Amino acid sequence: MDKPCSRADCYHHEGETCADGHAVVSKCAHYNQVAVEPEASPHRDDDAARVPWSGSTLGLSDLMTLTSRTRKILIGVLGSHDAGKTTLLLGNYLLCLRGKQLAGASFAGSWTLGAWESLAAWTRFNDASPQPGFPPHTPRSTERNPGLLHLALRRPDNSLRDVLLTDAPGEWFSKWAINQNAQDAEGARWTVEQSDAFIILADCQRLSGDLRGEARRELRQLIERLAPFVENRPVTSVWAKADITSLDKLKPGIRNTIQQTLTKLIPHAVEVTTSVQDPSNFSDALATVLDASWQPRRAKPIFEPILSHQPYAAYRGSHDET
Amino acid sequence: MTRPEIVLLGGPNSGKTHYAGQLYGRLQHSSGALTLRNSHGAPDDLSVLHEVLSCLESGNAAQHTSTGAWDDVHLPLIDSKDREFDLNWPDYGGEQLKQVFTTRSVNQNWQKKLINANGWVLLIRLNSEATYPDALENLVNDKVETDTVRNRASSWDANAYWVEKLQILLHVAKIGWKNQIQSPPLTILLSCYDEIGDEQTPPVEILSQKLPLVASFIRSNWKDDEVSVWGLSALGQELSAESKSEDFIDEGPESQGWVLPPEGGKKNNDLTLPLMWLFERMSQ
Repeated sequence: MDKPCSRADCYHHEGETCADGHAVVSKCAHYNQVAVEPEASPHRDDDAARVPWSGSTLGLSDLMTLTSRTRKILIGVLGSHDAGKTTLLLGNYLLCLRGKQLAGASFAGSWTLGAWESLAAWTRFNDASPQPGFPPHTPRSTERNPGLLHLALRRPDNSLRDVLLTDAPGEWFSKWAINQNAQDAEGARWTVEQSDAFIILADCQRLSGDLRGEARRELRQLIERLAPFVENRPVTSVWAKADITSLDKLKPGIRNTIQQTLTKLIPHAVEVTTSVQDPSNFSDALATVLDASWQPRRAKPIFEPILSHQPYAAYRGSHDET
Repeated sequence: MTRPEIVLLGGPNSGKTHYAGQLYGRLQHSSGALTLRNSHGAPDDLSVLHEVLSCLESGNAAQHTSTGAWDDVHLPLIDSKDREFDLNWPDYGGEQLKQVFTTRSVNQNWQKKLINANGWVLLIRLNSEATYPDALENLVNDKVETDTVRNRASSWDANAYWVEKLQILLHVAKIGWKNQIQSPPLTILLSCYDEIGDEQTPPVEILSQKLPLVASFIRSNWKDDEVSVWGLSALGQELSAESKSEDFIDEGPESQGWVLPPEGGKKNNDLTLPLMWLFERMSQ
């Protein structure tokens, strides 16, 4: 019985658990509201126990069911098209596959292994003369919500965090940088609003190439656009593809303007350099934002301003009406 | 008091059948820490185990078991302190455990068993697990974006495969891992350990080397005391359907096969030790 449920956020018909939590779906009121003639499916045992995740990237309705167990850390990975966002994400997954720790925490599961694996497939070959390539470009689709990749991480003190990383097309952010209210920048707005921390990617290769002027403009625009929204959320700026053009080889004019923009607008941003030559630095970028957001920040203590040095003035009296 | 139950999970070709047969032989001859409990007469239908054992007695490998054959094989056990346990052998062929992954579901009967189980045994045959350890180097070394889609590996890395499977089983068994798991305790048997060729390193380190992601998943989600990783060679050598191994014929299958305890070191002939460890944890 594969008819879709009347509840829009229920994906039972795609092989997941009933959104209302019924083990036997025919007992679910929402499901029974659907009058579609059930079709016999030879492959699926209707009463079999299922799981509420599909393994592909998470959408917004998945977040409600899957991330309620512990503190989640949503990291917005921002950068223009082909800046190396997906490579950065994949690098971190491959480090996990090696059993390496990320930000002092070890791998404790993932709801999006299918998505990670299909990214990783771009670096794996069965034949004798491997010619691996970088992950393919993430195309802009009609779906507005960015796909979220998930990693559960546990630190030695047993604290578990659900880390969600946005894997969104760069065009979103380019559009958003130009026009904050752009129709097709909904996903970028969502990311910026919801993220607990940000990683901004600067593409060293492009910043040193023929289009460096344009690349600089795009990056500055993105930083300027992001700055008012950041508040005190951690930001890491990553100089990506430093293996192709190292940071010192960038024209000082280009590098300085970007660094100045960053220091002026987002003073607490941390700079990290990544190159694919040293894979361990993929995790550096993630580690800086995770370290900063692992524990929730404490609220600022409230100070009572001293208005006068008369002890009597400190007496606020009682405001009870009775 | 209900007797503690354990379930055994092993994929196809993980050496489950031979372990079962050898275990049964050991239990019958009371040569290990555990023996068969006879208070309720002979255990239920054990013909399938007899069959395995008789193949081994002639020095040959047992045939691949069909899925239905293991229905309700369960061994009533007792230890030296008269504690009683039941070992449920899965009516789950290895193929069915594979289906858990492909269909992303577990049938109700099995869900019930998983929920009721007080301990899990997981059999992994490391040498038949496909991993892509050079993926990171590939990302590092070659900067050319290729346009071909040919020869790209299509299957999952065994690391991700086992983690996903464990996640599904845990979810279905209603076990959360927000806090580290205390129950059920988990025994991991690295089967066909003679293929590894390293008997000095503790098995848990071999697991970390071969399947780092799985090792990391287990280490972070189970309490340290509640997991043990053993090396298991149920036969001690490779047998085929026609091998007629003289060691087996002359000295009997019960003289063959060994386990390597979690701390490494010396091989032990008592194949019941990993189960004994599990029972100890369950009784605490």
